[in-house]
Amino acid sequence: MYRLSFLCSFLEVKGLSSLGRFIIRRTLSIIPMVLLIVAINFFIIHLAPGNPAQLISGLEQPSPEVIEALEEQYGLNQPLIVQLGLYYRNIFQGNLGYSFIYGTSVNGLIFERAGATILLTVTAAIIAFIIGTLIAVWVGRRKTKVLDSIFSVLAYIFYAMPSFWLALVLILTFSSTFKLFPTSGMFNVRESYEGFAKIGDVLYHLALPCATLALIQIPVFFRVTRSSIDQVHQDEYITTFTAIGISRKKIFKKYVLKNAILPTITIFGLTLGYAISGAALVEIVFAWPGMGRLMLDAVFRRDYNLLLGIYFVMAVCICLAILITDIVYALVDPRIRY
Amino acid sequence: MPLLQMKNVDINYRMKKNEVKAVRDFTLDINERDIVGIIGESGSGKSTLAHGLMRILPRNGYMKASEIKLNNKDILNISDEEFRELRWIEMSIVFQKAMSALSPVHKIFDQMYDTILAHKPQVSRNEAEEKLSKLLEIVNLPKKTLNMYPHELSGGMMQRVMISLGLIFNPKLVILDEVTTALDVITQGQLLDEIKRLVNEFKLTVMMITHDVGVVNEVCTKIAILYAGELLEYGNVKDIIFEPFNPYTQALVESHPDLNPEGSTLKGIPGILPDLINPPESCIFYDRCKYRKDICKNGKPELQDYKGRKVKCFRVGELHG
Amino acid sequence: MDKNILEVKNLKKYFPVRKMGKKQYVKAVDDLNFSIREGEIFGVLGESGCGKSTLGRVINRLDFEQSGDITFLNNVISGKSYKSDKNFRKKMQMIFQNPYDSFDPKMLIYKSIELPMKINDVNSDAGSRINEIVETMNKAKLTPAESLLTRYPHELSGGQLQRISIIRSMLLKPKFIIADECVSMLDVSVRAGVLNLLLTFQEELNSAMLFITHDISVATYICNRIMVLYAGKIMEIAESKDILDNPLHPYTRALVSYSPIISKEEKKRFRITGEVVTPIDPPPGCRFASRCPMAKDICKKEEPILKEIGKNRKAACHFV
Repeated sequence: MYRLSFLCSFLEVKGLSSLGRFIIRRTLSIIPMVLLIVAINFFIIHLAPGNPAQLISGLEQPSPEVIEALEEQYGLNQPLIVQLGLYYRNIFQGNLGYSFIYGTSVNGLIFERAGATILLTVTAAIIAFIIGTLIAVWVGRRKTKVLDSIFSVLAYIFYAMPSFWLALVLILTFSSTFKLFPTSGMFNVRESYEGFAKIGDVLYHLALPCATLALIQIPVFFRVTRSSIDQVHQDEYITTFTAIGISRKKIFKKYVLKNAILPTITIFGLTLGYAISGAALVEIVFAWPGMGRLMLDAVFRRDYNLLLGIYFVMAVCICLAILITDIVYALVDPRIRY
Repeated sequence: MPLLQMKNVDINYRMKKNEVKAVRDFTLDINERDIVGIIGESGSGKSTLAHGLMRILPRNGYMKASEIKLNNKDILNISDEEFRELRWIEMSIVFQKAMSALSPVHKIFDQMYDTILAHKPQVSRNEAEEKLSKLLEIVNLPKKTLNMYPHELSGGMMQRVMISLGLIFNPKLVILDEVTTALDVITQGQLLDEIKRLVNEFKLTVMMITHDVGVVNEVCTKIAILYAGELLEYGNVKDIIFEPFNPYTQALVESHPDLNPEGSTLKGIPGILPDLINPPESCIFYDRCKYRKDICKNGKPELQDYKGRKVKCFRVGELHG
Repeated sequence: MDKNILEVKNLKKYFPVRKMGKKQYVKAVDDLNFSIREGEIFGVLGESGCGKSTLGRVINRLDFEQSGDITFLNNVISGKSYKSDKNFRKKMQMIFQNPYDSFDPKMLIYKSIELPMKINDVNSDAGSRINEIVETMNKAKLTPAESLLTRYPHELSGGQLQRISIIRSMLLKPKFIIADECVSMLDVSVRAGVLNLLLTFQEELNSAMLFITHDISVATYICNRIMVLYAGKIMEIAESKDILDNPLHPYTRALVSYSPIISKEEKKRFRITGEVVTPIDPPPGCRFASRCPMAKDICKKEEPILKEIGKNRKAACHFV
């Protein structure tokens, strides 16, 4: 930490803007955080009972020689702290290790699937953010009780709905009955599209899983924005602007919105943070080739390296999401000191 | 010619089952260039009155009156849009909590410029900047204040910003709603000096709402005593503070340590405010009045002209003859 | 009467703050020396941020000093926490600004008053405790006592509740009371009742009091002596009449002249500029120098010491 502050003061001399300094400081602070998370994950996983060598061998009753050989091969016979040190070294070299069950590098496995997951979850989060906020704004401007009640009830219903169940309902309705969208997968495997056709095909497959996730997240954004708007309406500066005679429309568009959007930004950031891992159930129902299935396999078959690799990527994603949220927040709200 | 005429103003708040009658039968004319201190303790309805005049009551509040005229123009029976057009041009208001009276995430210039645009949409950014820096100079704030956010200023500075905001269109009537209450003693004194100067410079008529007799004594020419939603006495400040006629005024003034004869015990007012949901039919101060007699129970006393001031008390002639 | 109940020597309380990565200190209370006599009401007067509330909290051991000595009833109390020392708490009681915050909102008033008596073994049986509470309430004209005692805090007015909080403290018969802005939230007409109740009990118990306030009118009404604080430093200590009628220190003069004191005579302002500054690593010299109209070079270089300038009177200024 001392080095860090030294670096910061060095940057100060360089005449960076305070926001620039803030961003660098926050980015640097992620590194120790992620390392700490990795260490905690590492120890927790090794606390769990069972012997990974046995699993790797694929035998019910492997002989002690086999186990020893495997432990030797994967370094499992070393003290934990040494294993952790080795793991750190590998991470810095960009190597997340070797998956026991898939028999290939963890990097490759995650890289293959992360794209699909991020496409799905980020699209869903953005759609949910836009629609949820828009509905809240629309309802917030018209102060009719009926509209408010209808949307509040709807929000509760969708928020309480289990994601896999909603997924099944959507499949039954839009795929089986109306045959509008495919039931599963990310590509049409019978055709091999190129260029725009390929993009179109992916979007076509994306529609239902994305809608599922969005429908469940919309209520969150709706409720946060809605209550935030209500709160801001009671703030004293709104009374000031009314007394001044600024039109209600302008007060709402310029002042209420900007103040009310602040908590929504935080929620959006948190949603993004869980993007890499949060959609496992939906992915499995739609057979979406993302991280969900991978994680489930890793958990059930005790694939240490794969599990650690996934957790590492998750930790980085969450930290990055929080970082981005903080930066956006700092840009929007001048009260945040950096 | 009075600048502001209020006749029989009633302001009520709707509650779940009943109504709180916060201001009742308030009648007062405020003359041009008067600086009127509206004094009252909590529950007196003084802020409600100001908010009612500005049409910024909370949603459950509403006002009734037989007449409200500003500059001889009816401002009671006009539409919200007509009223919006005269807001800030004819009268403005400054609030107690200066720190939260402007949006925290917008620059002060933006908010002041929007104030100008609300009534003079043709004013350009540059013109506005010039006008606003001059205005800030008048309240002793540097030009760079315009580019700051509210949280970057102190309470006293923000209150100066709010006062200059209130003066943008040079309105005739300015309502100051507890503007110095949250400030430190010296900052308050400095702001009161400033207000006195501005009142002369801008030829203002001021309605100053406060709970502090001392503040009224420093800046005001007239004082109106409000108790539980009713006007009990109105007249020249010095007359009333040093020789109150109404028993409540007297009790209020005697509660002030400065006016308490040296060495004697400070007198407060025993008892509590009357119920404002079902206000008593008698004199409103009857329960707590030390001069009460049976006649005080029969109906409400009229606000009568008495020795150059207005007093509401059945026994005023008898007690101060 | 001339025995000191509380002596404060070189008392310091600094709060660390971080500014641009550097550690600095807010010198909230900086090197205070004063003493309070038995049975005396000692006022601490100052604006927000002058350190008056911090001082009260440190003396009451709710906060702990950086350095310095506090002697209370001939015992050194500084350096100790007294977290559960009943004997100490019983002798020194504190009354806070907001009575609604100093009562448990879910506890009946009666319970709130009885609890400290029970803890501190004032009257052993419940019956006599009740009798004493009711009696004291009646004496304080809080009637009907039985009905008030069986209510919850939010059902009472601020003035009533503040008077009850005074009663709650006084039932322990403390030797020393710290009242921190105890009437500043209340309406003028209610203040008198609270102040008079404080005075009655103080007289009856012959206890001493540290009365913290920003209101010079209230201070002069209730206090024997007043200490004026500015940015963590003592500016002046004098009898309250002298503070009001003949302030000597330039800061006190400004404070008095800017206070909205009601009098028939026109008064003149002792004009000063600027605003209160937070004493974050303050420069050498007098804390008030940057705003003082009488300041000379020496004021910015050398810190004035608090010196005796007459009977019962001290001021910290090079030119007094």
